[in-house]
Amino acid sequence: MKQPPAKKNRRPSGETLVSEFLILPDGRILAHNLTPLFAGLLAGFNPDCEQITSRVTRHPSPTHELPN
Amino acid sequence: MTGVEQERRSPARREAAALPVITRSTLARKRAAAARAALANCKLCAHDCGVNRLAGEHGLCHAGASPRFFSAQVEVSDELELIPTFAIALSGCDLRCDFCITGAESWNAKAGASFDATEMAERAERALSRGARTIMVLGGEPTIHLPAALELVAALPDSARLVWKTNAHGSAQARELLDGMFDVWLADFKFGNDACARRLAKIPNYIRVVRENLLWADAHSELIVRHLLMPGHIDCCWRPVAEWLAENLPGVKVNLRSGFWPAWHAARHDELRRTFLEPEGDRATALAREFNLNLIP
Repeated sequence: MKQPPAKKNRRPSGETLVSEFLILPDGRILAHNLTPLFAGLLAGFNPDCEQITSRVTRHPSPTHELPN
Repeated sequence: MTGVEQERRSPARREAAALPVITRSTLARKRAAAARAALANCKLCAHDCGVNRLAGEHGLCHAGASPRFFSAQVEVSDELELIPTFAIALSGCDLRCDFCITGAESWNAKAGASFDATEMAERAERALSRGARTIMVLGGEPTIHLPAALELVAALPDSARLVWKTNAHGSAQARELLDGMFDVWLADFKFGNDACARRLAKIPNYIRVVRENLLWADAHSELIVRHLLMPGHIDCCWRPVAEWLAENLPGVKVNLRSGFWPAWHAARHDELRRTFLEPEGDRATALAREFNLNLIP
């Protein structure tokens, strides 16, 4: 039986949340499409990093922001 | 008369001036219909293809008449003054940047899910009610989906703060339709010269077009200019961008992004096979200071 071709689009649509990270050998983490949830997570790893803590807002995490 | 001055006297401008009580959403509805009709001879971006997208023809962006989106979520990675933002990313783009971080979706207008302006407006409003400060329309490149973007504006509350995140490669026609629709233009100034633009994004006449768009955006809305620092492109790209901004848009808000990573087809170019190094970042920031740029986080 023929298998359907793998989907090339790696991003789910709809209401699934996506953030992307690149962890560098020197310990730096580059982030793209950062959601408040993941910003909070990163800030927890490094609470002294102003670049990330400044992005942790009081924005509540409504249900549509939680992973499915 | 300059291009900007000409556009200030454009029919759209006069139309808005003649109807001082007209709301943004009402005007957006009208503009959306005009933008949709314009797809029959599409010249929304500076490629000026002139294809009939309503009849299924495709120009260089390969976009059809019905847009798709690949992401819609609250994000906090943009400029501090804009976040949290409900960011809506439409699939497809008129540029072909080899280093595009969303290349799979930006190079493919068929990626993602079909876009319904009313449904998306509802989601955006929910995000606003839960603390998002802005709604950002981006891509890919949203200009190629102007009818849908304007339909979205028409469905949103007039009080919502709207951000147009663009590659600044739109046409005069697109700008006219966008006039007064978005509070903030967040515009990329990616390359400092035409040779880099041609080599990395397959784009001709980049400098002329982007400058035209930036000058217009500054005259018609709040403008934030973004420059993504690319490895090995400080002198050829960042320096001339900084110099031009200092001379032509003094005081404009500039966001210097140093988070380049070698995404998509970046490895086709030797210098783009790595991330941006800290000493390079320091040099780029020093240049910004030298030109007295208004850097924002």
